[in-house]
Amino acid sequence: MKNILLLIFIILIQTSCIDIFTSNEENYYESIHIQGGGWLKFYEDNSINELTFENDFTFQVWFSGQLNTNDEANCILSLNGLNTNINIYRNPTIHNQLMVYDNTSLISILEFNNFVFNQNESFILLTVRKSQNQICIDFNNDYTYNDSRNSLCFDNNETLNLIVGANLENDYPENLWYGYIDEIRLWDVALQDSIINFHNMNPDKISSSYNDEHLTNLIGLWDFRIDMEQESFSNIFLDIYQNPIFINLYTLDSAINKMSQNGR
Amino acid sequence: MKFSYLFLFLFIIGCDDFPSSVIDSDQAEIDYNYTMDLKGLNTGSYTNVCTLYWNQYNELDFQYYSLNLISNNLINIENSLVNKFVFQMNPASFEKIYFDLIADDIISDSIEIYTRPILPVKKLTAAANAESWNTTLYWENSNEDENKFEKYKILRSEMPYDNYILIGELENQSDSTFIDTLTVWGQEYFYKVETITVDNYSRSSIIKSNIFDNSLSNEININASNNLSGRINLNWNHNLQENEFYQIEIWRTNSQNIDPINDFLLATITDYQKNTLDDSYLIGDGMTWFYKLKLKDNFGNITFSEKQAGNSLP
Repeated sequence: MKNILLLIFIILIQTSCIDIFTSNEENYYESIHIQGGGWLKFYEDNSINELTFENDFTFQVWFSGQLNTNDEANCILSLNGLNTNINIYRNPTIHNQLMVYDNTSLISILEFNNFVFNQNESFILLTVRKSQNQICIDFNNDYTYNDSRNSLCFDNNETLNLIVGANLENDYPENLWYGYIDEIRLWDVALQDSIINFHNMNPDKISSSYNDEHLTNLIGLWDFRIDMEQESFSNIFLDIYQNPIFINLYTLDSAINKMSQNGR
Repeated sequence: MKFSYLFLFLFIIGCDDFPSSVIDSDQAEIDYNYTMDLKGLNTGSYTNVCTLYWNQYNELDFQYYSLNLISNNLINIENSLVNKFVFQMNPASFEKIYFDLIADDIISDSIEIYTRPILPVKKLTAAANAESWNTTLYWENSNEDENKFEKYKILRSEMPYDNYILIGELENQSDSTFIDTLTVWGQEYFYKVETITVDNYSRSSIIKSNIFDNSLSNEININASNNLSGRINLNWNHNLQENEFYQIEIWRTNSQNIDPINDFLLATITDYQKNTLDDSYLIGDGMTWFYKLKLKDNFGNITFSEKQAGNSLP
Protein backbone atom coordinates (compact mmCIF):
# COMPACT_ATOMS: atom_id res chain seq x y z
CA MET A 1 0.00 0.00 0.00
CA LYS A 2 2.86 2.35 0.87
CA ASN A 3 4.46 1.71 -2.47
CA ILE A 4 1.23 2.44 -4.30
CA LEU A 5 0.85 5.76 -2.45
CA LEU A 6 4.44 6.66 -3.22
CA LEU A 7 3.91 5.80 -6.86
CA ILE A 8 0.79 8.00 -7.03
CA PHE A 9 2.65 10.93 -5.49
CA ILE A 10 5.56 10.53 -7.85
CA ILE A 11 3.26 10.45 -10.87
CA LEU A 12 1.39 13.52 -9.63
CA ILE A 13 4.59 15.44 -9.09
CA GLN A 14 6.00 14.45 -12.43
CA THR A 15 2.87 15.47 -14.31
CA SER A 16 1.98 18.63 -12.39
CA CYS A 17 5.15 19.94 -10.89
CA ILE A 18 7.92 19.16 -13.31
CA ASP A 19 9.67 22.39 -12.36
CA ILE A 20 10.79 20.76 -9.12
CA PHE A 21 13.20 18.59 -11.07
CA THR A 22 14.33 21.28 -13.47
CA SER A 23 14.82 24.09 -11.01
CA ASN A 24 18.57 24.10 -11.51
CA GLU A 25 18.07 25.21 -15.09
CA GLU A 26 15.39 27.79 -14.32
CA ASN A 27 16.95 29.87 -11.60
CA TYR A 28 16.22 33.18 -13.29
CA TYR A 29 13.31 35.50 -13.03
CA GLU A 30 12.09 36.47 -16.45
CA SER A 31 9.41 39.11 -16.01
CA ILE A 32 7.61 41.53 -13.74
CA HIS A 33 4.21 40.42 -12.58
CA ILE A 34 1.90 43.38 -12.06
CA GLN A 35 -1.60 42.83 -10.80
CA GLY A 36 -3.48 46.08 -10.99
CA GLY A 37 -0.98 47.84 -8.75
CA GLY A 38 2.12 48.69 -10.76
CA TRP A 39 3.18 50.83 -13.69
CA LEU A 40 6.44 51.83 -15.33
CA LYS A 41 7.81 55.21 -16.40
CA PHE A 42 11.06 56.27 -18.04
CA TYR A 43 13.48 58.91 -16.81
CA GLU A 44 16.65 60.61 -17.96
CA ASP A 45 17.84 60.49 -14.39
CA ASN A 46 16.68 58.45 -11.46
CA SER A 47 13.23 59.98 -10.93
CA ILE A 48 13.25 63.68 -11.75
CA ASN A 49 13.29 64.35 -15.47
CA GLU A 50 10.87 62.17 -17.31
CA LEU A 51 12.12 60.84 -20.62
CA THR A 52 10.31 62.53 -23.49
CA PHE A 53 10.43 61.92 -27.21
CA GLU A 54 10.41 64.98 -29.42
CA ASN A 55 11.46 63.12 -32.56
CA ASP A 56 11.37 59.62 -33.95
CA PHE A 57 11.46 56.68 -31.59
CA THR A 58 10.54 53.03 -31.29
CA PHE A 59 9.09 51.45 -28.19
CA GLN A 60 8.68 47.71 -27.80
CA VAL A 61 7.23 45.62 -25.00
CA TRP A 62 6.82 41.86 -24.67
CA PHE A 63 3.89 41.29 -22.37
CA SER A 64 1.02 39.04 -21.45
CA GLY A 65 -2.36 39.73 -19.92
CA GLN A 66 -4.28 37.87 -17.29
CA LEU A 67 -7.88 37.57 -16.29
CA ASN A 68 -8.99 39.92 -13.57
CA THR A 69 -12.30 39.96 -11.83
CA ASN A 70 -13.10 43.64 -12.01
CA ASP A 71 -14.89 44.74 -15.15
CA GLU A 72 -12.19 47.21 -16.08
CA ALA A 73 -10.31 47.77 -19.30
CA ASN A 74 -6.63 47.53 -18.37
CA CYS A 75 -4.16 49.78 -20.11
CA ILE A 76 -0.88 48.33 -21.35
CA LEU A 77 0.53 51.53 -22.82
CA SER A 78 -0.21 55.22 -22.58
CA LEU A 79 1.39 57.85 -24.83
CA ASN A 80 0.94 61.35 -23.53
CA GLY A 81 1.59 64.80 -24.93
CA LEU A 82 0.13 68.25 -24.61
CA ASN A 83 -3.04 67.25 -26.46
CA THR A 84 -2.30 63.58 -26.89
CA ASN A 85 -3.57 60.80 -24.68
CA ILE A 86 -3.32 57.59 -26.66
CA ASN A 87 -4.12 54.54 -24.59
CA ILE A 88 -4.11 50.88 -25.55
CA TYR A 89 -6.59 48.87 -23.48
CA ARG A 90 -7.58 45.27 -23.44
CA ASN A 91 -11.29 44.61 -23.70
CA PRO A 92 -12.32 43.29 -20.28
CA THR A 93 -14.88 40.87 -21.67
CA ILE A 94 -13.73 40.06 -25.20
CA HIS A 95 -10.34 38.60 -24.48
CA ASN A 96 -8.87 38.73 -27.97
CA GLN A 97 -9.53 42.44 -28.41
CA LEU A 98 -7.52 45.57 -27.75
CA MET A 99 -9.03 49.03 -27.95
CA VAL A 100 -7.03 52.10 -28.93
CA TYR A 101 -8.31 55.43 -27.67
CA ASP A 102 -7.01 58.95 -28.22
CA ASN A 103 -8.52 60.98 -25.39
CA THR A 104 -12.21 60.06 -25.56
CA SER A 105 -12.16 58.94 -29.19
CA LEU A 106 -12.09 55.25 -29.95
CA ILE A 107 -9.56 55.05 -32.78
CA SER A 108 -9.75 51.36 -33.43
CA ILE A 109 -10.59 47.95 -32.08
CA LEU A 110 -8.04 45.25 -32.86
CA GLU A 111 -9.30 41.69 -32.89
CA PHE A 112 -6.54 39.09 -32.68
CA ASN A 113 -6.98 35.87 -34.57
CA ASN A 114 -4.82 33.64 -32.38
CA PHE A 115 -4.09 35.52 -29.22
CA VAL A 116 -6.00 36.24 -26.04
CA PHE A 117 -5.05 38.63 -23.29
CA ASN A 118 -6.23 36.51 -20.39
CA GLN A 119 -3.54 33.82 -20.46
CA ASN A 120 -0.38 34.35 -18.46
CA GLU A 121 1.81 32.16 -20.61
CA SER A 122 1.09 33.79 -23.96
CA PHE A 123 3.31 36.75 -24.73
CA ILE A 124 2.93 39.28 -27.49
CA LEU A 125 5.23 41.98 -28.85
CA LEU A 126 3.78 45.48 -29.09
CA THR A 127 5.76 47.94 -31.20
CA VAL A 128 5.04 51.66 -31.31
CA ARG A 129 7.03 53.73 -33.78
CA LYS A 130 7.03 57.44 -34.39
CA SER A 131 8.42 58.42 -37.76
CA GLN A 132 8.14 61.84 -39.33
CA ASN A 133 5.25 62.93 -37.14
CA GLN A 134 3.35 59.72 -37.63
CA ILE A 135 2.78 57.13 -34.92
CA CYS A 136 2.21 53.52 -35.92
CA ILE A 137 1.18 50.67 -33.64
CA ASP A 138 1.85 47.04 -34.53
CA PHE A 139 1.95 43.57 -33.02
CA ASN A 140 3.66 40.31 -33.87
CA ASN A 141 0.31 38.49 -34.09
CA ASP A 142 -2.29 38.68 -36.81
CA TYR A 143 -5.26 40.85 -36.09
CA THR A 144 -8.07 42.58 -37.90
CA TYR A 145 -9.45 46.07 -37.49
CA ASN A 146 -13.05 46.84 -36.79
CA ASP A 147 -13.05 49.19 -39.77
CA SER A 148 -11.58 49.36 -43.23
CA ARG A 149 -8.10 50.53 -42.25
CA ASN A 150 -4.97 48.61 -43.17
CA SER A 151 -2.65 49.94 -40.51
CA LEU A 152 -2.93 51.68 -37.20
CA CYS A 153 -1.09 54.92 -37.92
CA PHE A 154 -2.04 58.46 -37.07
CA ASP A 155 -0.47 61.89 -37.27
CA ASN A 156 1.17 63.33 -34.19
CA ASN A 157 3.73 66.09 -33.89
CA GLU A 158 3.84 66.42 -30.11
CA THR A 159 6.53 65.64 -27.59
CA LEU A 160 5.47 62.40 -25.96
CA ASN A 161 6.17 60.40 -22.85
CA LEU A 162 5.31 56.77 -22.23
CA ILE A 163 3.71 54.88 -19.37
CA VAL A 164 3.57 51.11 -19.32
CA GLY A 165 0.78 49.37 -17.44
CA ALA A 166 -1.59 52.25 -16.68
CA ASN A 167 -2.89 55.57 -17.86
CA LEU A 168 -2.54 58.55 -15.60
CA GLU A 169 -5.56 60.78 -15.03
CA ASN A 170 -4.40 63.93 -13.24
CA ASP A 171 -1.35 61.99 -12.06
CA TYR A 172 -3.53 59.23 -10.60
CA PRO A 173 -2.99 55.81 -12.14
CA GLU A 174 -6.08 54.24 -13.64
CA ASN A 175 -6.88 51.10 -15.60
CA LEU A 176 -3.81 49.33 -14.25
CA TRP A 177 -2.60 46.29 -16.12
CA TYR A 178 -2.85 42.71 -14.93
CA GLY A 179 -0.17 40.46 -16.41
CA TYR A 180 3.51 39.99 -17.03
CA ILE A 181 5.98 42.47 -18.53
CA ASP A 182 8.74 40.38 -20.03
CA GLU A 183 10.92 42.87 -21.86
CA ILE A 184 10.96 46.54 -22.76
CA ARG A 185 13.09 48.16 -25.47
CA LEU A 186 13.55 51.79 -26.42
CA TRP A 187 15.19 53.08 -29.58
CA ASP A 188 15.81 56.68 -30.53
CA VAL A 189 14.90 56.07 -34.17
CA ALA A 190 11.94 54.64 -35.99
CA LEU A 191 13.18 51.13 -36.75
CA GLN A 192 12.78 49.91 -40.29
CA ASP A 193 10.05 47.44 -41.15
CA SER A 194 12.65 44.77 -41.85
CA ILE A 195 14.02 45.08 -38.32
CA ILE A 196 10.55 44.98 -36.78
CA ASN A 197 9.80 41.90 -38.84
CA PHE A 198 13.03 40.36 -37.59
CA HIS A 199 11.95 41.06 -34.01
CA ASN A 200 8.54 39.60 -34.67
CA MET A 201 10.08 36.45 -36.08
CA ASN A 202 12.82 36.13 -33.45
CA PRO A 203 11.40 36.65 -29.98
CA ASP A 204 14.79 36.21 -28.30
CA LYS A 205 16.84 38.51 -30.52
CA ILE A 206 17.14 42.23 -31.03
CA SER A 207 19.63 42.00 -33.92
CA SER A 208 21.01 39.44 -36.30
CA SER A 209 24.59 40.28 -35.32
CA TYR A 210 26.54 42.44 -32.92
CA ASN A 211 27.48 44.68 -35.83
CA ASP A 212 23.95 45.68 -36.79
CA GLU A 213 23.81 49.42 -37.11
CA HIS A 214 20.49 49.83 -35.35
CA LEU A 215 22.02 48.63 -32.09
CA THR A 216 23.63 52.06 -31.77
CA ASN A 217 20.10 53.44 -31.46
CA LEU A 218 19.14 51.20 -28.57
CA ILE A 219 18.70 53.54 -25.61
CA GLY A 220 16.84 51.21 -23.29
CA LEU A 221 16.63 47.46 -22.78
CA TRP A 222 15.19 45.81 -19.72
CA ASP A 223 14.58 42.07 -20.01
CA PHE A 224 13.87 41.65 -16.29
CA ARG A 225 15.99 38.50 -16.34
CA ILE A 226 17.78 38.34 -13.04
CA ASP A 227 19.23 35.65 -10.86
CA MET A 228 16.63 34.41 -8.41
CA GLU A 229 19.01 35.24 -5.59
CA GLN A 230 18.32 38.90 -6.33
CA GLU A 231 15.11 40.62 -5.33
CA SER A 232 14.90 43.35 -7.91
CA PHE A 233 16.13 44.29 -11.36
CA SER A 234 18.50 47.08 -12.29
CA ASN A 235 16.48 49.99 -13.57
CA ILE A 236 19.44 51.63 -15.38
CA PHE A 237 20.35 51.05 -18.99
CA LEU A 238 23.54 52.46 -20.47
CA ASP A 239 23.62 52.84 -24.23
CA ILE A 240 26.82 52.34 -26.23
CA TYR A 241 27.77 55.93 -25.45
CA GLN A 242 27.26 55.22 -21.74
CA ASN A 243 24.22 57.52 -21.50
CA PRO A 244 21.88 56.28 -18.77
CA ILE A 245 18.13 55.83 -19.11
CA PHE A 246 16.07 54.78 -16.10
CA ILE A 247 12.90 52.79 -15.83
CA ASN A 248 10.98 53.16 -12.58
CA LEU A 249 8.41 50.71 -11.37
CA TYR A 250 5.72 52.41 -9.31
CA THR A 251 3.55 50.52 -6.89
CA LEU A 252 0.21 51.51 -5.48
CA ASP A 253 0.10 51.80 -1.73
CA SER A 254 -1.74 48.60 -1.02
CA ALA A 255 -0.33 46.57 -3.89
CA ILE A 256 2.78 44.51 -4.53
CA ASN A 257 4.62 43.71 -7.73
CA LYS A 258 6.67 40.58 -8.11
CA MET A 259 9.50 39.20 -10.17
CA SER A 260 8.37 36.02 -11.88
CA GLN A 261 9.82 33.07 -13.73
CA ASN A 262 7.05 33.31 -16.27
CA GLY A 263 8.44 34.48 -19.58
CA ARG A 264 8.12 34.10 -23.32
CA MET B 1 4.40 6.39 5.32
CA LYS B 2 6.92 9.09 6.29
CA PHE B 3 7.98 9.22 2.65
CA SER B 4 4.35 9.81 1.66
CA TYR B 5 4.19 12.93 3.82
CA LEU B 6 7.49 14.08 2.35
CA PHE B 7 6.19 13.74 -1.18
CA LEU B 8 2.89 15.38 -0.24
CA PHE B 9 4.86 18.31 1.19
CA LEU B 10 7.00 18.55 -1.96
CA PHE B 11 3.89 18.34 -4.08
CA ILE B 12 2.20 21.25 -2.29
CA ILE B 13 5.18 23.59 -2.26
CA GLY B 14 6.22 22.67 -5.78
CA CYS B 15 2.96 23.52 -7.50
CA ASP B 16 3.34 27.27 -7.53
CA ASP B 17 3.22 28.01 -11.26
CA PHE B 18 5.82 30.72 -11.36
CA PRO B 19 8.20 31.26 -8.42
CA SER B 20 8.27 34.92 -7.64
CA SER B 21 9.60 37.53 -5.28
CA VAL B 22 8.22 40.88 -4.26
CA ILE B 23 9.99 43.77 -5.95
CA ASP B 24 11.40 46.42 -3.67
CA SER B 25 10.63 49.34 -5.93
CA ASP B 26 9.81 53.01 -5.84
CA GLN B 27 6.79 53.11 -3.60
CA ALA B 28 4.64 55.91 -4.89
CA GLU B 29 2.45 57.53 -2.25
CA ILE B 30 -0.57 57.45 -4.46
CA ASP B 31 -4.08 56.33 -3.70
CA TYR B 32 -7.09 56.23 -5.92
CA ASN B 33 -9.03 59.40 -6.57
CA TYR B 34 -12.46 59.60 -5.00
CA THR B 35 -15.00 58.41 -7.49
CA MET B 36 -18.73 58.66 -6.93
CA ASP B 37 -19.51 55.45 -8.77
CA LEU B 38 -23.20 56.28 -9.12
CA LYS B 39 -25.29 53.15 -9.40
CA GLY B 40 -28.98 52.46 -9.83
CA LEU B 41 -28.84 48.80 -8.93
CA ASN B 42 -32.59 48.24 -8.97
CA THR B 43 -33.29 50.51 -11.88
CA GLY B 44 -36.05 49.14 -14.07
CA SER B 45 -37.04 46.53 -11.50
CA TYR B 46 -39.95 48.29 -9.79
CA THR B 47 -42.84 50.44 -10.93
CA ASN B 48 -42.61 53.06 -8.22
CA VAL B 49 -39.10 53.33 -6.73
CA CYS B 50 -35.50 53.40 -7.77
CA THR B 51 -32.54 53.55 -5.40
CA LEU B 52 -29.47 55.56 -6.24
CA TYR B 53 -26.19 54.48 -4.62
CA TRP B 54 -22.86 56.30 -4.47
CA ASN B 55 -19.53 56.04 -2.68
CA GLN B 56 -19.26 57.86 0.64
CA TYR B 57 -16.88 60.78 0.76
CA ASN B 58 -15.01 60.57 4.04
CA GLU B 59 -12.76 63.63 3.92
CA LEU B 60 -13.00 66.54 6.36
CA ASP B 61 -13.85 69.11 3.70
CA PHE B 62 -17.23 67.46 3.02
CA GLN B 63 -20.15 69.87 2.94
CA TYR B 64 -23.08 68.04 1.36
CA TYR B 65 -24.28 65.86 -1.47
CA SER B 66 -26.60 67.55 -3.91
CA LEU B 67 -29.05 65.57 -6.02
CA ASN B 68 -30.53 67.62 -8.79
CA LEU B 69 -33.35 66.08 -10.76
CA ILE B 70 -34.11 67.10 -14.28
CA SER B 71 -37.62 67.84 -13.03
CA ASN B 72 -35.94 70.64 -11.04
CA ASN B 73 -36.27 69.10 -7.62
CA LEU B 74 -33.16 69.66 -5.53
CA ILE B 75 -32.24 67.38 -2.65
CA ASN B 76 -29.33 68.19 -0.35
CA ILE B 77 -27.90 65.55 1.98
CA GLU B 78 -25.62 66.85 4.71
CA ASN B 79 -24.59 63.53 6.24
CA SER B 80 -21.44 62.25 4.52
CA LEU B 81 -22.17 58.69 5.69
CA VAL B 82 -25.30 58.50 3.56
CA ASN B 83 -24.65 56.54 0.40
CA LYS B 84 -28.08 55.97 -1.10
CA PHE B 85 -31.36 57.70 -1.80
CA VAL B 86 -34.69 56.16 -2.73
CA PHE B 87 -36.59 58.02 -5.43
CA GLN B 88 -40.36 57.69 -5.58
CA MET B 89 -41.32 57.57 -9.23
CA ASN B 90 -44.22 56.79 -11.54
CA PRO B 91 -44.28 53.61 -13.62
CA ALA B 92 -42.29 53.66 -16.87
CA SER B 93 -40.67 56.96 -15.99
CA PHE B 94 -37.09 58.05 -16.56
CA GLU B 95 -35.20 60.54 -14.45
CA LYS B 96 -31.80 62.05 -15.06
CA ILE B 97 -30.10 62.71 -11.71
CA TYR B 98 -27.30 65.25 -11.55
CA PHE B 99 -25.20 64.48 -8.50
CA ASP B 100 -22.74 66.96 -6.98
CA LEU B 101 -20.38 66.34 -4.10
CA ILE B 102 -19.83 69.72 -2.49
CA ALA B 103 -16.47 69.90 -0.72
CA ASP B 104 -13.47 72.18 -1.20
CA ASP B 105 -13.85 71.11 -4.79
CA ILE B 106 -17.09 70.16 -6.48
CA ILE B 107 -17.20 66.74 -8.05
CA SER B 108 -20.09 66.11 -10.41
CA ASP B 109 -21.60 63.17 -12.21
CA SER B 110 -24.99 62.15 -13.52
CA ILE B 111 -26.99 59.01 -14.05
CA GLU B 112 -30.28 58.07 -15.66
CA ILE B 113 -32.55 55.90 -13.55
CA TYR B 114 -35.95 54.51 -14.42
CA THR B 115 -38.85 52.34 -13.42
CA ARG B 116 -40.61 49.63 -15.36
CA PRO B 117 -44.11 49.85 -16.81
CA ILE B 118 -47.11 48.08 -15.29
CA LEU B 119 -47.02 44.59 -16.73
CA PRO B 120 -49.75 44.27 -19.38
CA VAL B 121 -51.76 41.28 -20.48
CA LYS B 122 -50.03 39.47 -23.34
CA LYS B 123 -51.02 37.63 -26.48
CA LEU B 124 -54.45 39.24 -26.75
CA THR B 125 -56.66 37.68 -29.41
CA ALA B 126 -60.14 38.73 -30.55
CA ALA B 127 -62.14 36.06 -32.33
CA ALA B 128 -65.47 36.89 -33.98
CA ASN B 129 -68.02 34.13 -33.71
CA ALA B 130 -69.47 33.65 -37.21
CA GLU B 131 -72.85 32.42 -35.90
CA SER B 132 -73.62 34.81 -33.07
CA TRP B 133 -71.15 37.48 -34.15
CA ASN B 134 -70.10 37.84 -30.55
CA THR B 135 -66.42 38.51 -30.04
CA THR B 136 -64.41 36.38 -27.67
CA LEU B 137 -61.23 37.83 -26.25
CA TYR B 138 -58.37 35.71 -24.92
CA TRP B 139 -55.14 36.80 -23.31
CA GLU B 140 -52.35 35.72 -21.03
CA ASN B 141 -52.97 37.45 -17.73
CA SER B 142 -50.73 40.16 -16.39
CA ASN B 143 -47.79 39.14 -14.24
CA GLU B 144 -48.02 42.30 -12.22
CA ASP B 145 -47.51 42.01 -8.45
CA GLU B 146 -50.77 40.58 -7.09
CA ASN B 147 -50.73 43.10 -4.27
CA LYS B 148 -50.80 45.88 -6.82
CA PHE B 149 -53.32 44.41 -9.22
CA GLU B 150 -56.82 45.82 -9.05
CA LYS B 151 -58.68 44.93 -12.25
CA TYR B 152 -58.74 44.56 -16.00
CA LYS B 153 -60.67 47.02 -18.10
CA ILE B 154 -61.98 45.74 -21.43
CA LEU B 155 -62.19 48.46 -24.07
CA ARG B 156 -63.68 48.50 -27.55
CA SER B 157 -63.73 50.93 -30.44
CA GLU B 158 -64.77 50.99 -34.07
CA MET B 159 -61.52 52.78 -34.91
CA PRO B 160 -58.10 51.44 -34.12
CA TYR B 161 -56.57 54.32 -32.22
CA ASP B 162 -59.27 56.27 -30.38
CA ASN B 163 -62.89 56.46 -29.19
CA TYR B 164 -62.52 53.41 -26.98
CA ILE B 165 -65.39 52.71 -24.62
CA LEU B 166 -65.39 50.57 -21.50
CA ILE B 167 -67.33 47.34 -22.11
CA GLY B 168 -66.33 45.34 -19.03
CA GLU B 169 -64.18 45.01 -15.94
CA LEU B 170 -62.67 41.90 -14.39
CA GLU B 171 -61.28 41.90 -10.87
CA ASN B 172 -59.59 38.52 -10.87
CA GLN B 173 -55.99 38.66 -12.07
CA SER B 174 -56.18 35.13 -13.39
CA ASP B 175 -59.11 35.99 -15.69
CA SER B 176 -58.03 35.57 -19.26
CA THR B 177 -61.16 35.68 -21.39
CA PHE B 178 -64.11 37.97 -22.07
CA ILE B 179 -67.08 37.70 -24.46
CA ASP B 180 -68.39 40.89 -26.03
CA THR B 181 -72.02 40.29 -26.96
CA LEU B 182 -73.04 43.84 -27.86
CA THR B 183 -71.67 43.79 -31.37
CA VAL B 184 -73.20 44.37 -34.79
CA TRP B 185 -72.96 41.70 -37.45
CA GLY B 186 -70.25 42.43 -40.01
CA GLN B 187 -68.72 45.36 -38.11
CA GLU B 188 -64.98 45.41 -37.40
CA TYR B 189 -64.15 46.23 -33.79
CA PHE B 190 -60.89 46.92 -32.09
CA TYR B 191 -60.20 45.75 -28.56
CA LYS B 192 -57.64 46.30 -25.87
CA VAL B 193 -57.34 45.22 -22.25
CA GLU B 194 -55.96 47.55 -19.64
CA THR B 195 -54.29 46.36 -16.45
CA ILE B 196 -55.22 48.71 -13.59
CA THR B 197 -53.29 48.83 -10.31
CA VAL B 198 -54.54 49.77 -6.86
CA ASP B 199 -52.70 53.07 -7.10
CA ASN B 200 -54.62 53.77 -10.31
CA TYR B 201 -51.85 53.32 -12.82
CA SER B 202 -52.62 51.44 -15.99
CA ARG B 203 -50.98 49.67 -18.88
CA SER B 204 -52.78 48.78 -22.06
CA SER B 205 -52.39 45.66 -24.10
CA ILE B 206 -51.82 45.82 -27.82
CA ILE B 207 -54.89 46.41 -30.03
CA LYS B 208 -56.67 43.52 -31.67
CA SER B 209 -59.27 43.56 -34.41
CA ASN B 210 -62.02 40.99 -34.35
CA ILE B 211 -61.64 40.46 -38.12
CA PHE B 212 -58.30 41.42 -39.59
CA ASP B 213 -54.68 41.09 -38.64
CA ASN B 214 -53.20 44.54 -38.96
CA SER B 215 -49.62 44.65 -40.09
CA LEU B 216 -47.29 47.58 -40.35
CA SER B 217 -43.93 47.83 -42.06
CA ASN B 218 -41.62 48.73 -39.19
CA GLU B 219 -37.97 49.62 -39.00
CA ILE B 220 -35.76 50.47 -36.05
CA ASN B 221 -32.09 51.47 -35.85
CA ILE B 222 -29.85 51.88 -32.84
CA ASN B 223 -26.54 53.59 -32.10
CA ALA B 224 -24.40 52.92 -29.03
CA SER B 225 -21.61 55.20 -27.82
CA ASN B 226 -18.02 54.32 -26.94
CA ASN B 227 -16.74 57.63 -25.61
CA LEU B 228 -18.62 58.28 -22.36
CA SER B 229 -17.28 57.52 -18.93
CA GLY B 230 -19.37 55.14 -16.84
CA ARG B 231 -22.20 54.87 -19.34
CA ILE B 232 -23.16 53.94 -22.85
CA ASN B 233 -25.57 56.27 -24.55
CA LEU B 234 -28.11 54.54 -26.72
CA ASN B 235 -30.20 56.38 -29.25
CA TRP B 236 -32.61 55.02 -31.75
CA ASN B 237 -35.05 55.93 -34.46
CA HIS B 238 -37.98 54.12 -36.01
CA ASN B 239 -40.69 54.80 -38.52
CA LEU B 240 -43.82 54.44 -36.38
CA GLN B 241 -46.31 57.24 -35.83
CA GLU B 242 -47.21 58.00 -32.24
CA ASN B 243 -50.58 56.27 -32.40
CA GLU B 244 -48.95 53.18 -33.92
CA PHE B 245 -46.27 52.89 -31.25
CA TYR B 246 -46.63 50.41 -28.40
CA GLN B 247 -43.17 49.90 -26.84
CA ILE B 248 -39.48 49.33 -27.35
CA GLU B 249 -37.60 46.74 -25.35
CA ILE B 250 -33.84 47.24 -24.95
CA TRP B 251 -31.97 43.94 -24.63
CA ARG B 252 -28.34 43.61 -23.68
CA THR B 253 -25.57 41.02 -23.41
CA ASN B 254 -21.81 41.14 -22.92
CA SER B 255 -21.12 38.04 -24.99
CA GLN B 256 -20.33 38.17 -28.67
CA ASN B 257 -21.88 34.77 -29.11
CA ILE B 258 -25.28 35.41 -27.53
CA ASP B 259 -28.20 37.15 -29.16
CA PRO B 260 -29.01 40.04 -26.79
CA ILE B 261 -32.68 39.10 -27.05
CA ASN B 262 -31.84 35.92 -25.18
CA ASP B 263 -30.00 37.63 -22.37
CA PHE B 264 -31.01 40.67 -20.31
CA LEU B 265 -33.97 43.04 -20.68
CA LEU B 266 -32.47 46.37 -19.75
CA ALA B 267 -35.48 48.65 -20.14
CA THR B 268 -38.91 48.94 -21.67
CA ILE B 269 -39.74 52.24 -23.30
CA THR B 270 -43.42 53.15 -23.57
CA ASP B 271 -42.92 56.85 -24.18
CA TYR B 272 -43.05 57.52 -27.92
CA GLN B 273 -41.06 60.72 -27.54
CA LYS B 274 -38.14 59.04 -25.81
CA ASN B 275 -35.37 58.13 -28.21
CA THR B 276 -32.27 57.93 -26.01
CA LEU B 277 -31.11 56.18 -22.84
CA ASP B 278 -27.91 56.33 -20.82
CA ASP B 279 -27.11 52.76 -19.82
CA SER B 280 -24.97 52.74 -16.69
CA TYR B 281 -26.33 49.54 -15.17
CA LEU B 282 -23.26 47.53 -14.03
CA ILE B 283 -21.60 48.93 -17.12
CA GLY B 284 -17.98 48.36 -16.07
CA ASP B 285 -15.01 50.29 -17.37
CA GLY B 286 -14.41 49.84 -21.07
CA MET B 287 -16.55 46.72 -21.25
CA THR B 288 -18.24 46.03 -24.55
CA TRP B 289 -21.98 45.47 -24.46
CA PHE B 290 -24.12 44.31 -27.33
CA TYR B 291 -27.62 45.72 -27.72
CA LYS B 292 -30.66 44.86 -29.72
CA LEU B 293 -33.99 46.68 -29.74
CA LYS B 294 -37.37 45.01 -30.04
CA LEU B 295 -39.95 47.37 -31.46
CA LYS B 296 -43.60 46.46 -31.03
CA ASP B 297 -46.37 48.41 -32.69
CA ASN B 298 -49.87 48.79 -31.33
CA PHE B 299 -51.08 45.78 -33.29
CA GLY B 300 -48.40 43.56 -31.82
CA ASN B 301 -46.14 43.42 -34.86
CA ILE B 302 -42.53 43.00 -33.80
CA THR B 303 -39.35 44.24 -35.48
CA PHE B 304 -35.79 43.86 -34.26
CA SER B 305 -32.88 46.21 -34.77
CA GLU B 306 -29.46 45.01 -35.81
CA LYS B 307 -27.10 44.07 -32.97
CA GLN B 308 -25.04 47.08 -31.97
CA ALA B 309 -21.90 47.14 -29.82
CA GLY B 310 -20.99 49.95 -27.47
CA ASN B 311 -18.61 50.44 -24.60
CA SER B 312 -17.92 52.90 -21.86
CA LEU B 313 -14.79 54.98 -21.97
CA PRO B 314 -12.00 53.05 -20.20
